[in-house]
Amino acid sequence: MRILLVEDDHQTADYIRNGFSQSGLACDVVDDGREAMLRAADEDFGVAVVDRMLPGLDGLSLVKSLRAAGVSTPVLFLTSIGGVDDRVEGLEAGGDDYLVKPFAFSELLARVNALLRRPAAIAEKSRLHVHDLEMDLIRRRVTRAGQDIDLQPKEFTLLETLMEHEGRVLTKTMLLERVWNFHFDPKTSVVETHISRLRSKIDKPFDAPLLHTVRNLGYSLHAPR
Amino acid sequence: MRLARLIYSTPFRIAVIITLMAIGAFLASAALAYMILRTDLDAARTRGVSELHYAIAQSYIEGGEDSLADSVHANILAAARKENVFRLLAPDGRVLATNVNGFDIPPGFSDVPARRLGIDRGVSYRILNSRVGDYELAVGSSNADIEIVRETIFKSFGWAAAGMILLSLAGGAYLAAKTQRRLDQMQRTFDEISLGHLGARLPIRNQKDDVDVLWRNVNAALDRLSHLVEGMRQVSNDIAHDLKTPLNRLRITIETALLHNEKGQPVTELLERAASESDHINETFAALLAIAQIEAGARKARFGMIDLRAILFDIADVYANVAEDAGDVLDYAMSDDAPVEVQGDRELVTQALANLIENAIRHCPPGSHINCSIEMRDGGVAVIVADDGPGIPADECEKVRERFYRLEKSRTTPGSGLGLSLVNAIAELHGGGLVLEDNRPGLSATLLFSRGADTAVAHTEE
Repeated sequence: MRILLVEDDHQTADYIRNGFSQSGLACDVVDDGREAMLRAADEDFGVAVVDRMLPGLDGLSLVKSLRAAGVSTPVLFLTSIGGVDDRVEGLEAGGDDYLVKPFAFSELLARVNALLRRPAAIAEKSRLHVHDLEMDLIRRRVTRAGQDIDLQPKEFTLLETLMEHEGRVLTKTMLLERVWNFHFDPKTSVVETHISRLRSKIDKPFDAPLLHTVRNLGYSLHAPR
Repeated sequence: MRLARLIYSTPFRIAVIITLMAIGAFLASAALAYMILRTDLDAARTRGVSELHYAIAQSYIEGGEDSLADSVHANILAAARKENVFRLLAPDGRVLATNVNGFDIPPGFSDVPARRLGIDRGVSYRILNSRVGDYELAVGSSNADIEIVRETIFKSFGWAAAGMILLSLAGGAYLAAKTQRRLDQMQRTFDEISLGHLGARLPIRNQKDDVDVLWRNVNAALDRLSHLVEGMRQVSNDIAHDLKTPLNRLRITIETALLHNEKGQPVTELLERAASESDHINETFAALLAIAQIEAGARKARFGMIDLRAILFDIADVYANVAEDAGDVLDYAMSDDAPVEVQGDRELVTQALANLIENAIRHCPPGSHINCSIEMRDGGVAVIVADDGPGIPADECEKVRERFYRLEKSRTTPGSGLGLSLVNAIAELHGGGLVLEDNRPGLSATLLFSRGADTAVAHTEE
């Protein structure tokens, strides 16, 4: 799967492209909005990373036009502005995620990975399972090795999000947005607290740990490797 | 006031247009009246002629030729001013009686201009020329009456129109002058504003006319404008003043790293510190920008109905766990389960409440008690986060909402001092404010939300 990077600042573009290639992802760079429009419509990319400030055609208009043309490639917006309205504007224009510069590359990578393998199939699924952990989405029940586990609503949502992205790293920011709908940086340990509670319910009483902390990055749920 | 401006001014043009329309309507109705009258008079004339002809013919039937001739003579005498004309022809074509110069009068009905009959007037005659026995009798009646009506109608129309035009010109000029004065006032105010005196406002005259309404709106817009400009000015000041220090720190860290590198010493830790300083600067800048944008009213367009009870419930749920891990107790109290709805932005309110709760968790020692509640107040809703921790000295309660103000004792904890400014900005955007009070002991932070008479619905009464 190739990534289309639409970025006119060459330093940033190089930084991102190198980062992707080190993670094994091929990345095409375009520095102009109109050219990006042509390529995104013509070719099939896994994800488009689009800077909002572009010469030629600004990022927002670019994505609006792509959506109007029926292009459903997932889009992640990059912006230097990051105003209170910008994120919502980006999503309304048809974007799927939003990141404010400067960002840690690991954050960008985690979000791009989450978009690359969009759990579209999961929308139809009624159960999730990782190893011996089972989640019934309809009855809202979780069991591991056959034992019922009692979870608070937010713990359930947290676990559901981790299971949907099995094996992938979800950063703290991503979890805050998706589980708690927090679009700010908390100064307390909201994510850690809930992860540790979740862990004590689904991991501690059992033999194989499924919920892993990836240092400086985030969390990941997967069977032991 | 120059004449040209007057003529081009809207009130004057409106007056002229209305007058032209009125004159047009008047003209149309005058023409209509004239036509109706003419038709009626014409019909009456035709009837009159027929009846007169018949009456004269009767005298022939009753008394023979002499009677006929006598009747015609008598009628001719009676028509001294030739309002009626007659001609009686004998069977051999001799003229027996007439009061006009003879010529070929066609049989039946016809309209003949007076001059053709030798009468020097600008009228015409409707003539009925028909046989009475072997005689040929022509009887005609003039349309002088219609001509008089026509003259009268158009003369009065002319005078009325002239009067209307004069009146409208005078009235239009007067109104135009009045309006022009108000427009000049407006122009002067805007000139002042262009020069940078953002305090200038349009004078309201309490006349409850639409100009006043417009000017009230313009003044409100000017209020917002100067508020915005002030906000932007403040952001620039804040950035210049308070980001200098961290930027300097960053530079020093980088220089130190360069120095260490030259000496062959490891620089990883310094670089990490530099990165973290840089992050901190970005956060501060983003927070400043967010505050300025919120103060300028961004997000207000996205307001919807939000349920404060539900939001507080969700947040308290999240932070109860966090508080527990910090050794504190967080609980919440609502009067009942009914939703408490106001117009607002869910994300911003969530952030504001989270900020207050986090402050409580961070500044209170383990073992403290944090309580969240909702109260209905006059015209609004109060969401209260109260703790029994160290609190804020009464004299700092006001200042702590200012940007970058840090309490002495919290200077060592992480944060940029913008949190409460942001919370305050969010509260003000929602028509309320942030009030910090001594909880005796501890701090009570109250977020006030306004409830417009028709915007908020509260099902509970205190």
